[in-house]
Amino acid sequence: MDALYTVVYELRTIAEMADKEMSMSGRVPDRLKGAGSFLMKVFGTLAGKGSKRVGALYVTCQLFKVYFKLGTVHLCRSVIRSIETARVFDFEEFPTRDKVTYNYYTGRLEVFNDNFLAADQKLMYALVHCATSKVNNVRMILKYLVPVKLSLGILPKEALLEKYNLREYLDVVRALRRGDVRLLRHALEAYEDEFLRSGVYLVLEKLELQVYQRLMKKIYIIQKQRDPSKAHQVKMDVVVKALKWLEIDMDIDEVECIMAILIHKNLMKGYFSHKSKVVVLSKQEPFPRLGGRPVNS
Amino acid sequence: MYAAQETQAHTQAGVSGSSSTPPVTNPASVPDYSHAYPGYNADAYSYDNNTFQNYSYNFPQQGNPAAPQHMGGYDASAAPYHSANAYQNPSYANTTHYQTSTAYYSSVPPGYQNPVPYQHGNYSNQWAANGYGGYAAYSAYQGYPQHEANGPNHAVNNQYTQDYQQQWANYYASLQNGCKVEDSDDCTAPGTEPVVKEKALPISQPPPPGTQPTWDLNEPSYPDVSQANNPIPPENSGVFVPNPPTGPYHGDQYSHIQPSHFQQPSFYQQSLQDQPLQFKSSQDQPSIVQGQQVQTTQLHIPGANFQQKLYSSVAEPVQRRANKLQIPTNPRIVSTPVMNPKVIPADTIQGRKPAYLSVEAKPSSVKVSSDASAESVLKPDMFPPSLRAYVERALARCKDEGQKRACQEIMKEMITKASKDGTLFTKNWDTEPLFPLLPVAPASTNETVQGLDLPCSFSKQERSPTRRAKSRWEPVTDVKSEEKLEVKAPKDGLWNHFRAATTSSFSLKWEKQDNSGNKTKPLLHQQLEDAEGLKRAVKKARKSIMGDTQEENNSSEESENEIMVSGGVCLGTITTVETPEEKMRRQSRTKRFDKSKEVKTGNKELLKPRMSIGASASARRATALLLARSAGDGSGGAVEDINWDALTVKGTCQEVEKRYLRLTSAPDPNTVRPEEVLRKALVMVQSTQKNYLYKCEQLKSIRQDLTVQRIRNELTVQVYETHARMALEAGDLPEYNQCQSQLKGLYAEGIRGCNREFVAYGLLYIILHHGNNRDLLFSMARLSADDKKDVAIRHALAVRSAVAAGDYTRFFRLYKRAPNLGTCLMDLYVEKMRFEALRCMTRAYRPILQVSYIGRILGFTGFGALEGSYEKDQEDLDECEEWLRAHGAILVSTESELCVDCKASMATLLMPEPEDAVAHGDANLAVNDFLAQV
Repeated sequence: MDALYTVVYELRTIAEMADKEMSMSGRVPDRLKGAGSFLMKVFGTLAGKGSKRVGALYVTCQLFKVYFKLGTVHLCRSVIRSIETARVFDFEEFPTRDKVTYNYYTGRLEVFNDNFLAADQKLMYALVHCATSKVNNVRMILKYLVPVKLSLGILPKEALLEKYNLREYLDVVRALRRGDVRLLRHALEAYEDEFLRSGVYLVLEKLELQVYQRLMKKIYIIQKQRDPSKAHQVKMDVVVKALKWLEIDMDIDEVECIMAILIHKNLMKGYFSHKSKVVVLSKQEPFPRLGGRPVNS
Repeated sequence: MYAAQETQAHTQAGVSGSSSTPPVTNPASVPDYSHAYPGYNADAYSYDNNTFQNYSYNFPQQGNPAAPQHMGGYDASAAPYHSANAYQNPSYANTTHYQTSTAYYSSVPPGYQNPVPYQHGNYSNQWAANGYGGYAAYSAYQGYPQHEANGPNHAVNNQYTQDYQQQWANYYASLQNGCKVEDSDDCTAPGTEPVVKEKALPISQPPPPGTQPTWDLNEPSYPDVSQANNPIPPENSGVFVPNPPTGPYHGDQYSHIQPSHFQQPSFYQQSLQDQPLQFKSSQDQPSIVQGQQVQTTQLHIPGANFQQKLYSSVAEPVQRRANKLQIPTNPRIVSTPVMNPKVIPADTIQGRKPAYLSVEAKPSSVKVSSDASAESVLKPDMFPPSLRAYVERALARCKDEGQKRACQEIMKEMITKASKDGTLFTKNWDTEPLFPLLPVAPASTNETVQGLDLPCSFSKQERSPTRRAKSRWEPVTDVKSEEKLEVKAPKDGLWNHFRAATTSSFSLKWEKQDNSGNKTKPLLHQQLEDAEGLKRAVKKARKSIMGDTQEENNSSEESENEIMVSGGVCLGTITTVETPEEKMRRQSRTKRFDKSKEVKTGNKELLKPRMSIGASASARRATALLLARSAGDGSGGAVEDINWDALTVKGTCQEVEKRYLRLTSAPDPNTVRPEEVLRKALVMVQSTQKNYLYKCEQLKSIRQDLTVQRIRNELTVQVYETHARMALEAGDLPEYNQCQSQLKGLYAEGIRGCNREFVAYGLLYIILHHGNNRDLLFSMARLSADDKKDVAIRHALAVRSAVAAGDYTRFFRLYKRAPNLGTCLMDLYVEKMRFEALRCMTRAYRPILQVSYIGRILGFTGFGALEGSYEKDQEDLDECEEWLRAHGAILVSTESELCVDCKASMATLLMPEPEDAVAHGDANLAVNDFLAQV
């Protein structure tokens, strides 16, 4: 098995280097692609009933790396299907390191598909089983787990982000805490390239609704402190004013739309009266906590 | 092949390391040489002849056996060593021997093969030491006659030299016997065969066109021939005359060539004889030839000091050329062990220089200088006008007196030689390449020239066949090997270099020899061309060779290709029959080359005649240059391009309008419109009033014609952009997609168009119709900062975020403000967005929501306000009401306004079946139009 691991690993890394070399010399880098299809064959031979089937997951992980590098992530599906449906495989039978890697990559795939619950599950598995001494691996997992958790309404401690050098999420988390739409936008802008590359941009962008929710909650709380009896009625111009204070210029139609979406997505309980331009909040738990549920009811 | 290549690579590597010294000696010797040269020629020549003949007589047996073996090796050159081994002596034959004998390999290769290493300047003193050592080891190998010969030569082994000489003598004798065409003695050809066998050559070698094919044919038979030649000189001669014999002839040449190469080394020790020969060859062939010569001379250099002197006169320019030349030669050298010795010498920079000088001298000899003296020698009536023009051209290049004098001398010699050969009038002087000027050391050149003393040198040369034979042999070998190589491995990159060198030499040769004198090639142009091509070729060859050495076993394609090339060189002997297809392809390639050349240099007319005339030769040369060029461009896989280009159709149809028919066979040029007509067609389509179906068909036919003719330029982009826009307007997404993907490729090639507009379309399309997060991320990640400032792209990104957030207000605002045809793309998403928005609204608003508000937010209304017509607004509102009803909203009338009962509607909302669905799939296309087309 060790020999196989070595061969497979070397095959991939050498193919990567060859591609790098080739692209530098201006030719079409197709070595990694070739390595991918070859590894697929290797996987095919391992995926039998023999004792070597435990090596299949390692090959799968290498295949993931190849496909992610090539951007042909859709090719992962067939491998995943055979891993998860084939009866010869008992997932727990595989080595831990392969299981962690496998869950990491499948988790990333779920992030792409906006399937946050599954992504959370897989990434959590990877995180839990990942050796804590492998700081870099933990960081890689957190890089995707944090946005997933955020979108599920679970905010990490800043210390965690600091520890694993995930500073790019600091402002995002702060924005979520404060309901600061501007801060979120700035954070997204500042790390746009990075987020786009890692593929979490779209996930983070959707946090904006949660930020609006937090903003509304704050407004609600403030109103409640002033006048508990009328706290559940939030006037639109108040919201517009708050947004203006955040240097976000939105007219009343847009704000109305946001409110409607918040209500529609169940981030806010209540209704909107178009005639009086007032959001009437539910008296019980007007801002339901996501608490691990994805947005969008 | 591969194995052979690898071995070569190994050897090369070894060589490079080991060989390093010669350069030092050369410079020092240079000055003296010029003086030595003149005297040398006269004396040496005669001497050589004698010796040669003697040798031949004395050692016929030895020489012959060796030669055949060599021949075999040559033939096999494809698999350099291996093949050689197989062919030749058992002992030699054993590859194992080769490999195992480290001494041989390491030492020999340095000397023999790697031209590159040498070029790099490692040629210093070590060369002698290493080379000798290697050779000594070599000598141990009895099985390897040739190699041994080489070794001996370096080591001053008399036997080898003798053998070679013998061979030469034999050849020479055979030549004389077989063809008594001494008169014809050409300055022609690279001096290879012609010089040595000058007499025989004219006869033996048919006119260029014919010859090439014959050559190819010959190659296969090559091995046999070679053997035959050695044993029976007379036979060879006989063979030479007719074309069929050419095959054998080649074999002979090869064998001769090989010997010549070997001989050179021996020469140093023994005499300067080789040099004269070399010089001749160099003279015959312009710059390209020089390279070969240079190599030979280089060989000499290490051995003989006087050679170095000669070299000195050459000066830097020579070196450069030599380098260039080397590249071509290198492959050969590498491939064939025999060749290697030559190569090595060639590699030595200094050695090259001398060769260069010799080259110059040669041209001079061939051509009469415009000077009074020269003219006096050649009486006015004696010279064809073309010769006069040539002389004038040559002189025009001279910048100072020294140069002029040298020039004159050279030309004098050339003309004398030509007149002696009887080619003065038959030669096409118009196409005769100008001999290279000696910019650096005009004085030295002059000296050499003077020393040569045209008449004397010529007479001597002629008289001393041995000398000539040697010199010519060397070039001949090169040429032949090159030719073979070309034939065999035309596709290889190294090849190109090789070919460039060879072909050029060939063409020159032909021109000279050719009585038809059809070649109208512009001399200067050609020279320049050659020089450039060679330079590049050299560069690349160096590179490739280096690559080979470095990554011998690398499995990457590149290395493989290169290996192939080198292998092809080595295999030179492996004969590939030139099929008609091959010829055709060459021809087409040549044409293409010419075309490109025309564009570049504007020498169209000049080139064309030449093409038509010396079809094969010129074609080869052109191909070679082309290949060299492409190689220079770093496009290793130019072969396929060439082929495709050859097949590309050039349309002749002048019809602006053309119906689209999917091609089921090769396009007929008569039905394909050329670019100008396609331009008109595009304008016509853009301005026509006819419906989309018609436009689409026309555009498709335009696209087809563009594709068939492989036109990829701004026009292509325009056509696709036009079609994409029209498809968008008509809502024809499949067609739009085709165009968009084509445009992507075209933009990627750097062809300018409305890039950003279509990037924005692409984004919108992904956002609205594709829905793939990864594609979207990928597209977004590729946007540059400047891109993001573009209106259309900014709009697309805003749409993206609106869609992502489900922000229908913003979406419809953006919908109204969409630049270009963004509205069309968004149109296709509006229905979905509206329905989502309605669901959201019915859920969020209580108790009722005004229809007017919905109409405004969901983009039904608001257009009227822009136009200032209330009626329009009302119409839109009615439309909105209709839409709401259709989607299951429950409307209630309140005091003043129609409203949606949100709570009641929540449960009843539905997405209606599209009423306007049509059987043919696209409601935008009128059925009648569609049927009319059918």
